[in-house]
Amino acid sequence: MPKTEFSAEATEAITRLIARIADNKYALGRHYAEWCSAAPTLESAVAAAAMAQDELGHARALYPLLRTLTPAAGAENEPETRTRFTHMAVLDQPLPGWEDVITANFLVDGALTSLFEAAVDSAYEPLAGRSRKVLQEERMHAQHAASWVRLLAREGGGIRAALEASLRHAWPEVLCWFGPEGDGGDALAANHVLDATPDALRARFLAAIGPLIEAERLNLPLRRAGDDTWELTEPLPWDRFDAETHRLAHGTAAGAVVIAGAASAASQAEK
Amino acid sequence: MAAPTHLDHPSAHISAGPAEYPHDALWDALREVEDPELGISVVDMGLIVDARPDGPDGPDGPKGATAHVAITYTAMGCPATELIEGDIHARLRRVPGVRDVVIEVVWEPVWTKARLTEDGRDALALLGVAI
Repeated sequence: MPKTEFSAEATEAITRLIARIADNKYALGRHYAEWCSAAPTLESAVAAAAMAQDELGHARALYPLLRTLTPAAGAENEPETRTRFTHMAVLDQPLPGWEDVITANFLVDGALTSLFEAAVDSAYEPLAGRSRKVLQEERMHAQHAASWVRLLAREGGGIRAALEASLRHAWPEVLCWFGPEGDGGDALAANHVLDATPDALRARFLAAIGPLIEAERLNLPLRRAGDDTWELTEPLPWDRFDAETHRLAHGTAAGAVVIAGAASAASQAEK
Repeated sequence: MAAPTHLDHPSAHISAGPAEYPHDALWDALREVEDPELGISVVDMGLIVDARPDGPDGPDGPKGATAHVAITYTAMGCPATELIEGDIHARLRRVPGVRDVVIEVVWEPVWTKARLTEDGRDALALLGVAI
């Protein structure tokens, strides 16, 4: 099958897509790793280590694509020397509690998985090939997330409240992350890089997570609108959404986050 | 003409039973390279998707050849990739006629236990891994 040629606009959209997936995978891997010796049970610590290894592996398989897409970016294409990251703002800092790890597992990783599902037959072949392998590995992550959401929700009291607060904190950014509402001109869907528009991706994601949220009666702004359709009961904060990075401002600028250590090192190098 | 890839010429027999792989100079050399974590050949583990020399001379030809290897891994986060690829480089460069080795990591086909050979399954069973 001949390789698809993309326009400059489509190539830029693909570059941003790969960067934001890889950055989120890389950040997830680092944050899961922080819990390898701090999780509430030995089994969950082992699971955190396994998931960290998987996420870093997914990032490691994606970053090299940037070298081909934007060779002029040089060191910015490598996770070790990259200074501007585009992961979700909820991953800017270490995840402070186990409920935040589960939120990242359930919502952030779940959203990334929805995107890989939309890329299985991508016209951008390097993404299609990686998507099938990522999805194979993500099955365990999804089971882990669902089990822990159920467990924490059924604990009740403060544990349940902490989970709900964590989920509500990440909720708007994760849902905005798929892209603007009503974006019929989406370059990724138009070029068959993804098989759906941001609205359709968001709907699929809600259909994937909605049943568990409903079953556990979690207090999130979501309600069932049909057999497989769900609707949000609160508007998303698009005024805080950065269309370039798909990050949401949390009291600070929504643009790419500059990692202090790397930026400082780069600054010193320039001097 | 573009160089052949593993997708053009499937070189393994993968079915419901144990997988089988070719016997030639390259594949037999690869059978001597082990996954360092398990001590099982990378061929028996089903990691090798394709191995072939470029050009008409083949590994025993007068001009020598580049050995092209397509490899996949059981997990994208496999920590032993550099070690395995280094061992493959070193072993294949000792195959008569091979001047260079090019390794391409591929994620299709996705690794599953169907890629294990019978020897690979037996070796994993001895390690207590259920197949």
